[in-house]
Amino acid sequence: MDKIVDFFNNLKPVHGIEFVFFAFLFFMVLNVLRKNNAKLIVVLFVLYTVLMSVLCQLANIPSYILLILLGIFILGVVVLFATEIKRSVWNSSIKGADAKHWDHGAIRENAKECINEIIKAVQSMSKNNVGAIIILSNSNMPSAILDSGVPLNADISSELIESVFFPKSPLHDGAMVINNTKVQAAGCFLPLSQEINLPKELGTRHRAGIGITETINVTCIIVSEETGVISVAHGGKLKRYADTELLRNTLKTFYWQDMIN
Amino acid sequence: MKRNELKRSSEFVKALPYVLIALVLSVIVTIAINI
Repeated sequence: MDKIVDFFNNLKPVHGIEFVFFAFLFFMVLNVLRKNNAKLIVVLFVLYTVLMSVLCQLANIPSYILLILLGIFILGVVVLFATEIKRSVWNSSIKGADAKHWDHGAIRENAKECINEIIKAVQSMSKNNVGAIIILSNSNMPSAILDSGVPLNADISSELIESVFFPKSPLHDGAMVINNTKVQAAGCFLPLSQEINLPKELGTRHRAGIGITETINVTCIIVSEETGVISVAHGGKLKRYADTELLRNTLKTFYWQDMIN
Repeated sequence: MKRNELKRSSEFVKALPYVLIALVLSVIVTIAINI
């Protein structure tokens, strides 16, 4: 107890820096846990930190051992939530980068037309068993993915979408990225989902669609080449057998919430 | 605009307990490594 009183009597600027550093570090870790609803790990983290601090004092263990023990726990959290951390870093670094320059009036006017064109193209491709993967992004696609494809920056039309995914077209084998009311790029390569519990009938296209929504806050519309089934992926979850209503609701959410917010 | 402000303020309220926990933990660790 005397030691603690002595510590507070002899406070130095370096202690303030240490306090701010630890507060920031702990908040970052707790925030990752909070966003992933990992309340049990929050409790474990708090107990672990307090116990280690007290035990190190009682057993007279050097302070660097305490730092190593804390580091191990934090490293464990980083490994456990690597995908979620990657998603939040990507989203926060590019979130709304272009959003302030958008003409929201024009988006409102064009949204209905874009929604109709996308639905028309998707249904036509589904009917003809043409495989397709369309990403609805909110200016938050990493440039690494956009650079892997061909930039188009073209207005959305069902003819354009169908032409891109036409089986003999050079761009048909990648993903199309729709941003705002434009087709930003096509033929983009996406990270595949590492989820092992996906049904076996889902191929690489579906894995890619789920994979991109696991790491980035985008929505993905996938048309199966084998069955013509339309699926919608968001947040790493796949909704199969999407009908017109689900497609329309997905696109409305994209245009009226993600973009106008 | 109002919806965005509401969203931000509710996020802040949700994060507040975790800010407090982080502050308490950092006090404990700072003391533990310095005494």
